[in-house]
Amino acid sequence: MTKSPTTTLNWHSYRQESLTTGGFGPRRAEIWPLLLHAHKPHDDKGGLNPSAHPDERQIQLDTDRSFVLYPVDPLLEKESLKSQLHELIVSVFRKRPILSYFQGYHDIVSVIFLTLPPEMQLCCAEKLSLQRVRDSMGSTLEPVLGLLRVMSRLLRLADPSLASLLEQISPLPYYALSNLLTLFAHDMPCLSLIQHVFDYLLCRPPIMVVYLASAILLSRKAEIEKLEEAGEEGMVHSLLSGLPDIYDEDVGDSQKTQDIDTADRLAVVYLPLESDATTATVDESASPVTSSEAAQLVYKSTVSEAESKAPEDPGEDAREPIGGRSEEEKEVVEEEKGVVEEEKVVDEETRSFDPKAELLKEKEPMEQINELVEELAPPIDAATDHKNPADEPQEPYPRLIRPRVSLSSLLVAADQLYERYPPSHPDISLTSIMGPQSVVFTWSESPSEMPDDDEAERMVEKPELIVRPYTELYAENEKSEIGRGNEAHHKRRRKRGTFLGGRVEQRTVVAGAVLAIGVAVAMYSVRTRSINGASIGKDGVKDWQVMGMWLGGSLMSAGERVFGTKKP
Amino acid sequence: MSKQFQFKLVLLGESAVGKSSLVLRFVKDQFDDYRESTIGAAFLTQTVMLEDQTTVKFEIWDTAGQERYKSLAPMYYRNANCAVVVYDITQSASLEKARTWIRELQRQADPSIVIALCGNKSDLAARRQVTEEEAKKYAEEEGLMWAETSAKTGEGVTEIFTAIAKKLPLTATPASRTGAARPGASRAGVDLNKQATPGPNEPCNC
Repeated sequence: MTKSPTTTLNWHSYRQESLTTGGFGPRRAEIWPLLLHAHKPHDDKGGLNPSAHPDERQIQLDTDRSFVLYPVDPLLEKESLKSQLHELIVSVFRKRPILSYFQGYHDIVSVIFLTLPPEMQLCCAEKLSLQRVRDSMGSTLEPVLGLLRVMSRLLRLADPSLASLLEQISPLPYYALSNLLTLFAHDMPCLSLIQHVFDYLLCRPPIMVVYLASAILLSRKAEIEKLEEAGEEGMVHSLLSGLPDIYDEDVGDSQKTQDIDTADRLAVVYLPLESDATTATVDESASPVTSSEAAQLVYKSTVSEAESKAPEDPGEDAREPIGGRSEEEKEVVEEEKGVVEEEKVVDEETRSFDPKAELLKEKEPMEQINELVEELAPPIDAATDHKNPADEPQEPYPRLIRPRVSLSSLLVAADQLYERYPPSHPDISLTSIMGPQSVVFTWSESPSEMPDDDEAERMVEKPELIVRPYTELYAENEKSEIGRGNEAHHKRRRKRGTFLGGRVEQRTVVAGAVLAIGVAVAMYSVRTRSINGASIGKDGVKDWQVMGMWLGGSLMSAGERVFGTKKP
Repeated sequence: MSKQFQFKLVLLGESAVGKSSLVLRFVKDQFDDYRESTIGAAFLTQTVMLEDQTTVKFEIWDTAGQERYKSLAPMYYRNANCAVVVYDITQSASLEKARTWIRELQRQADPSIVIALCGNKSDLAARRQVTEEEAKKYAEEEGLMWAETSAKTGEGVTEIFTAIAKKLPLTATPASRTGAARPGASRAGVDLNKQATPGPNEPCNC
């Protein structure tokens, strides 16, 4: 690799490009390793632990049933792909034995596997795991549940009425679990779409997966409102755990220009997120977003200068014909999402069992949803469907509830959502949910500001620093079971009053506790260092900063204020 | 007058024992050799009609099998009327896992929950590690329903769900109503544990 290529990375330009149709196209094979700060190893096998990782059996079980949706090329030998994928995943865990495997991780790595050249797969999978997916690679699901809580707060801000509707049905957006856990790798129906999503996510802070999942959800308001009539948690879960009909093909000039215009309008700068324990307590008392806070934290919108990139889409020919999926394939896709749309037709003659019992023809959730759609809009001609959306009327049915939606528009919407409601927003207050060692705080554009790989690996052993302890406040909300949303909802409503009352005090206590842990660990590390005779000088300052960032958030900002090393 | 019942059913069991395949066979009468692992949970429904014209609609929550998803399970079995705990007859460890689930259900779930222990992959009897006798004996000791199934061939699948449907109305206080409601139109959120059951004209939740 060239010397410190990351210092010259133009994140801004990558972010712009990732919003356009097709994303990075075939160039992603070179761009992803840069964005991940991954370097081709000199010695491939050097760091591998020869002993098996405890999760290898589970890895086998999942890679055995991988590549169900893609690649679609019938010439590819899927069995061979599966064994290569298995080997790749096992290599990550033998190299990083402290990490734990989760079901769905194999979906993430399969995207790396199908996109990058073999020599870059392991190092990229490793970096992605350590610096972006790490929170989910400890022993529990708690960190991703934390992200669901962030998502819940974001939805309340962005669309209170929709959020309240959704909360009636499910206390947390559990249907988005696989979106957040697998960075959509489990959910996108074809390779080119998930590649584009990765283009988008990899050049942004890890928290953006929450904004993207939320933007997608918000785009489905009409569908969700229709479901209110059915009012069933299961049905909503079925609908929302699948994705809307997303396209990312060449949609003709007018549409494309529109995409690019939007992309140009929105130029966003992501400053590093700081897990600032003191901010967390301050956030609770502040009601409106103060401009200083917004500036401190995250994300500014600027008018972009003329973009060097973007207009010509580089990746057109390399893309799979997403829209070209046959109806059968489409059906498979929908089944895979756990959505049932066909009627079960029972042939009584062929049933060899209890002839008195029969399965009724059942209208399944998707079928009912589709019927609702049909009531509102004439069906789109199957021959032209998925071929060229530009041929279709653009907004013919204002009440169409299952519109096709372009990936670019969702990505832009996610950016806008972030701009409007950054993680520092008092009503999101990321620091009050996620701990200082979460990837949402440790990730940085600059590798020198991130924990090194070994440190990152060890962070999964301290779950209490990844996600804040779960307060009774939330437990109350989440204890209600899924599938019995309505009556649970009324109880929750009644509790809202106390909810607000209890809030400030509880979070202050938690934030203080985590700050104390952070300081204690940082002190300990520094002492160890001086005992070992490490010099404390310029490097010492740096160490303090880095440790502060991932050990006790507030140290970081203190360090920055004192040393003034951070760019504004 | 036919009665309609609606029950929440949860599937539990170790990873890759065939929970999703079992549901797919029951709901769509299909089988895929390779079925993607379930992340989180999936929801499906299927309705069974019994001999006395009683209809039983199952709202099925199919859960992820990996241990780390276990903390989500209470959400799905809480207030479930029935649970199908699945093991793979070719993996004796999966029966151990099933026992763990059953103990948890007995401790944490609604005391009236109907639990069925289900030995899947009976088409692979040649590789059997769990004998019928062993599983049956355990089920009898614990008062569970038990059956072997093959999601692949369909053997035993509808039978076990039907058997559960028959057992349920006798052991729970179901929401019953006249059969006027069209399929799928029944209001959700019927609390099967509530004694005062809302009638068909009950105002909706909005």
